[in-house]
Amino acid sequence: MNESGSCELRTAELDDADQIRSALEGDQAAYARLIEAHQSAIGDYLWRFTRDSNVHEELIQEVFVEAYFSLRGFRGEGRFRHWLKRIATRVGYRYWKRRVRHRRQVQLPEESWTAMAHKEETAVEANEAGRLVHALLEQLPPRDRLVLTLLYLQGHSVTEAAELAGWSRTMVKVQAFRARRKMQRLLKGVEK
Amino acid sequence: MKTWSDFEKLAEMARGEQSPAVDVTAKVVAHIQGCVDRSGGVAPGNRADLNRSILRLDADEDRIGLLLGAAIAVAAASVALMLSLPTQETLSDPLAGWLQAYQVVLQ
Repeated sequence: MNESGSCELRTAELDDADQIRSALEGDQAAYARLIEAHQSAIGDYLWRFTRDSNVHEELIQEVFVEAYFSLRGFRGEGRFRHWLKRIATRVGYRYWKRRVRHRRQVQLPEESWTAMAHKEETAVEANEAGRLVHALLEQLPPRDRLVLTLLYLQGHSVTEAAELAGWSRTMVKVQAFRARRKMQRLLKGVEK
Repeated sequence: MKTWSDFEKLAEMARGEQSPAVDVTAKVVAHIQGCVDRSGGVAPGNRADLNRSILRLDADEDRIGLLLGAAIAVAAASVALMLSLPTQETLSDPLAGWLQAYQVVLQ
């Protein structure tokens, strides 16, 4: 990151700290400003947990309501957005657990899969790729789905994924190994 | 052909995807205000236990399943006990028979 980028990040963190302090004193307008600043990033993060726009909106609300009633627990050691993402991970995971009975087998058309996997990235193709990957991940149990989502779809490192899920690094690696095997079996199965 | 490397590539492409724009500010603030009004002044708290890992979230749900299983087992055992009560009356006590034989030996 260049110097101006780093300065912007620092300014944003200081701004967050001010708003959090005011929100803790009961200033709801300050909390509204925090929501405005972070809802887009949390929205992008939660879009990997559901592609139903109504549910997506509900999950974002749930994150910010839960964050408000937990705000005293934010010690300011890390970035506020990262703390929100940890809450979002739990909210998203709870949603998957509730939906576990509705897991369904999806047949992905061979042509769209192959075509997508060999295209260059554009905004439209990112959406289509997201739809395909989501349809595949949806067929896995929540824990496998979570680890693959964090590592491959969100692009987090093992350490970051461990922190977001509250697991140890070893646990992430073991879970990822199992989930990869299940996904490979799934890919072979879909092929037949 | 669907391969793991295709999956990795698609997942990487999907990272560039943006979610639909949503503004939840008014709804969240209204919800919080509703909670504050109902409880007579709830301030931001310390409710979320972020040290609880996803595994512990699972464990809580597993515990419910375990309790449910235990309840079913107790109910099944009670039914078995009720069915076996009449039979028990006609059974002779094996210990009494053994003691009787022992007494005969002693005499």
